[in-house]
Amino acid sequence: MSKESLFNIVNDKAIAKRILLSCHFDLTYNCNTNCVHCYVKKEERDELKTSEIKDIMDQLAAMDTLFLILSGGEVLTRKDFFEIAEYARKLNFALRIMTNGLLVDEKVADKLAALNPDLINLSIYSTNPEVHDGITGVPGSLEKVINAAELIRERGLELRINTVIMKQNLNDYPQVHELAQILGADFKVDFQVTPKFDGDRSPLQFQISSNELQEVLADPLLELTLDDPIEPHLKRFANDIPCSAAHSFLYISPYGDVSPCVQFKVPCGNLKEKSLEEIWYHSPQMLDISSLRISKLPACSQCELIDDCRYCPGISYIEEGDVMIPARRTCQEALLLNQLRGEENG
Amino acid sequence: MMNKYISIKKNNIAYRIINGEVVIVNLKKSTFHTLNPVATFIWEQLDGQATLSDIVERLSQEFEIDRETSENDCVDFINDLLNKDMITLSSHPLEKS
Ligand SMILES: C[S@@+](CC[C@H](N)C(=O)[O-])C[C@H]1O[C@@H](n2cnc3c(N)ncnc32)[C@H](O)[C@@H]1O
Ligand code: SF4
Ligand code: SF4
Repeated sequence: MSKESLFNIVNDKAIAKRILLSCHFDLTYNCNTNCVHCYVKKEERDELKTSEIKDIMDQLAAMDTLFLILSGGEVLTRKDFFEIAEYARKLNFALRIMTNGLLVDEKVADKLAALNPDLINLSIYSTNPEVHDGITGVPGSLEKVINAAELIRERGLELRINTVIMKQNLNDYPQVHELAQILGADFKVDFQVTPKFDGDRSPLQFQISSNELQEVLADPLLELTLDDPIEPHLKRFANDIPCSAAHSFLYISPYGDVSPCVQFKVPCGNLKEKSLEEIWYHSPQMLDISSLRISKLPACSQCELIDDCRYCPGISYIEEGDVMIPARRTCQEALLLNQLRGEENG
Repeated sequence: MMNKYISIKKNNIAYRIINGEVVIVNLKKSTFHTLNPVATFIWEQLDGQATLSDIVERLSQEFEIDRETSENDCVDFINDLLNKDMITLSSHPLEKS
C-alpha cells in the first residue's frame, strides 16, 4: 500500500478518536525575503522562546502527534532552528520543513540531512529568474533555491517543490515541474491565494482569473498534485468532515496562538496561558469547528457539486466571515472541475 | 541472535504509539507502517536493555502464548525490522541516555 493511502487510514482513525496526529508549527514570522503575495503578517509581540517551543513539543509528543510541519516565515532565520529541530527529532517526530532555501549552503544542507526529515519543501515559482525573483523581491533567489534543491537531493532527502500559480507565473509551472522531475523531487501546485492574516486582501490581486483557472485545472499535469493528506487545506473531505483541522490537526503561531489551520485562524487559545491539552479538548472554538459537518452546511448539503468540491472552512471564514457560507471561488472551482469531469466521462 | 540486545535506530525513523498501535515512518526509505498490538508490544521492548530471549519470554507471558509461538513471532518480526534497517543488534545493553 502506498504511503499516502496508509496515512489516510491512520488519519481516519485519528479523526475518529480526535487524536492530534499532525501539527503545523510556524516558528517565526521573520523572513529574509519579501514575497509579494505572502500572507504572513508580523505583529508587535514577542515570538516564542526556545524553551517555550521545546515545552510545546513535549506537549505535542505527549498528545501522540507524529507529523510536525515546521514553517513560517523563514525557519532558517531562527538562530536556534537546529537546536529546536534536533529536539523534535529526539522526541521521534516526523519533520516536514518548509523553507525558501536562501540560507541553505553545504553546511546547512548537512545539518538538515542529519535531522533525517520526512520531507523538505521548497517554493519555486518559475525557472525564469525575472519571474521568481520578481515574486520574492530578492535578486538571485532562484539560483539560490535551485542550488538548495540540488544540495538537498544530493544528500538523498525527500524534496517537494511547491509552486503557487499566480498571474505573474501562470505559464511557468510546466518548467518547474520538469525541474522537479530532473531533481527527483515531488511537485505540488496551489492556485488559491489567500488574504493576509490580518484580513488584508492585497495578495488576491495576484490570483488567476476563472478563465485562467479553467485552463490550469484542465491540464493533466496537475491532476495528481492538488491533494496532500498531511496538510488538511490541500485535502478533499471524506465522511462528511470538511478536513482534518480540529479533528487530527492544528496550527500554532510563533506567538503561541492556537487555531485549527494556518488558513483558518480562529483564535482558540494561547500556549503561554493554557496547555495544549486544555485548548485541544476544551476550547469552545476548537470544539465548535470539530463539530462542523458538510451535511449541516445549508448550501453545501444540497449541492450537486459536492464530489468535485474542495470546500475549505478556513477560506469561507476569511472570505465570507462565516464557515457556513461557501466562498464564491470555492464554488467556482467545483463547477469547473465538475464540468471537466463531465467532459472526460461523456 | 537470542542473546543479542535490540534497539530501535531512532535516527532513521519517526514513530508514535497511538491507541496501542505503533505508527512508524521509515525516514530513510520513505515508507509508512502500522503494527498490530503483538508487534507493538515487541516494539516497546526494543530499548536496548532486553535481549531477544527476554522479549520472547515477555511476549509469551503478556499474551499467554507458548514459548515456541512467541519465539517464532519475535524472530520473524525482528528479521523484518532488520531488513527494513530499523533496528540494531548488539552484544551489550545500550547505555541509557
Ligand atoms: C508562507 S511560506 C513559509 C515557508 C517558506 N518561507 C517558503 O516560502 O516556502 C509557505 C508557502 O505559502 C505560500 N504562500 C505565501 N503567501 C500565500 C498566499 N497569500 N496565498 C497562498 N499561498 C501563499 C508560499 O508561496 C509558500 O509556498
Ligand atoms: S519566503 Fe515564504 S515566508 Fe518569506 S515572504 Fe516568501 S512566502 Fe512569505
Ligand atoms: S460548490 Fe459551493 S455550495 Fe457546493 S459543496 Fe462546494 S462550497 Fe458547497
